[in-house]
Amino acid sequence: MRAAGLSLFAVGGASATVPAIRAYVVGAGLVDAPTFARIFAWGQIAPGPNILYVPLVGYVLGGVAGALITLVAFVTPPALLSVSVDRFFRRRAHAPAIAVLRRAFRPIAGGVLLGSGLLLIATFSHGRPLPVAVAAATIAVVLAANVGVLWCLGGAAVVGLVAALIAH
Amino acid sequence: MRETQDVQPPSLRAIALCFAELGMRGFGGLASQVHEVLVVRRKWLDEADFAETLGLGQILPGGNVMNMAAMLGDRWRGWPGAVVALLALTVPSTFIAIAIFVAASTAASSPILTSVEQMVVVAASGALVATGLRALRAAHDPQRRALSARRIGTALLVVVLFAIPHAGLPVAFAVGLPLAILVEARAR
Repeated sequence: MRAAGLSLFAVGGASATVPAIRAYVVGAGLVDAPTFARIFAWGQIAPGPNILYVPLVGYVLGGVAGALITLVAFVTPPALLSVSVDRFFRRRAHAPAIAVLRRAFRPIAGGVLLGSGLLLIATFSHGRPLPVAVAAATIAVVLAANVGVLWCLGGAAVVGLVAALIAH
Repeated sequence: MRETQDVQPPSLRAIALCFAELGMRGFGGLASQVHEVLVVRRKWLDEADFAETLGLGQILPGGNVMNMAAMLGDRWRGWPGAVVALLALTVPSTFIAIAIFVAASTAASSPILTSVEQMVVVAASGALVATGLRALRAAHDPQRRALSARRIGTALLVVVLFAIPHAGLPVAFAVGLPLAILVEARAR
């Protein structure tokens, strides 16, 4: 399906694809804008790769079969490319240029993780102190205590529950 | 990408179980969970391998963790490994996402649910920040302070460029990658 072409837009993770996919899907009149926003939000909240909101678009359009077709179309081209590039790098693992390139990926990965995490915190905190505190506590706990991430998310869910109960 | 592991690569079954588990985890930002499962718990990857593979997965088109799954599955067990890792990661979680979406579309939104969602999302984002900081720590080499400073400076520049609305990621890659290559090339 047309998702195959869209997958190649996804340079650098799920959030980078959103504008392109949104323009395409909404522009073609396949899904209206509020539905797309809902699909995207739930794709973020559901477990698994965030990019799975794309098969959700397929689900809205064509049921379970639509979701699976979109998934396969969306996953295959980047996977073929990744495996090919990775094999090329490994074949030439001892070439100095490849070694330099591989090491150059490390600060990029660190920077993108840091940047996307901070951006998401800023977006979803809505300027309130409590979410910022929860995010800061998670950073500290994950770094210092090596506590599993799922425990932190569970703790954050409890904080959210208590905060909502106090507020209402 | 280092071929130094003398341990047996994981079996197809182990790959399937591991990536299916990852597909069930990862609420908002899977990379920190991949780090926990593959580097900390199973020790199938070291810090440097993780950062290099994730960086490559980010730069190539497609979902970063899905690209990682394909590359790692292929390294361990060839094409079957790549296919198994990808299917295990995406198919069960697609069905869960559909179920959650259908349930959420029928239920009315409540303020309690919204509050819980918000806290989970910011905590997951905090975990991403922590994983990024760990990757930076791995880039630090106590023997070579100037080089470490340049590496960390490059990463921080990527963070700043990333924050520019809309243009963020492509610009961060376009500036950050050549700079990172320059830093590493001069380090020899």
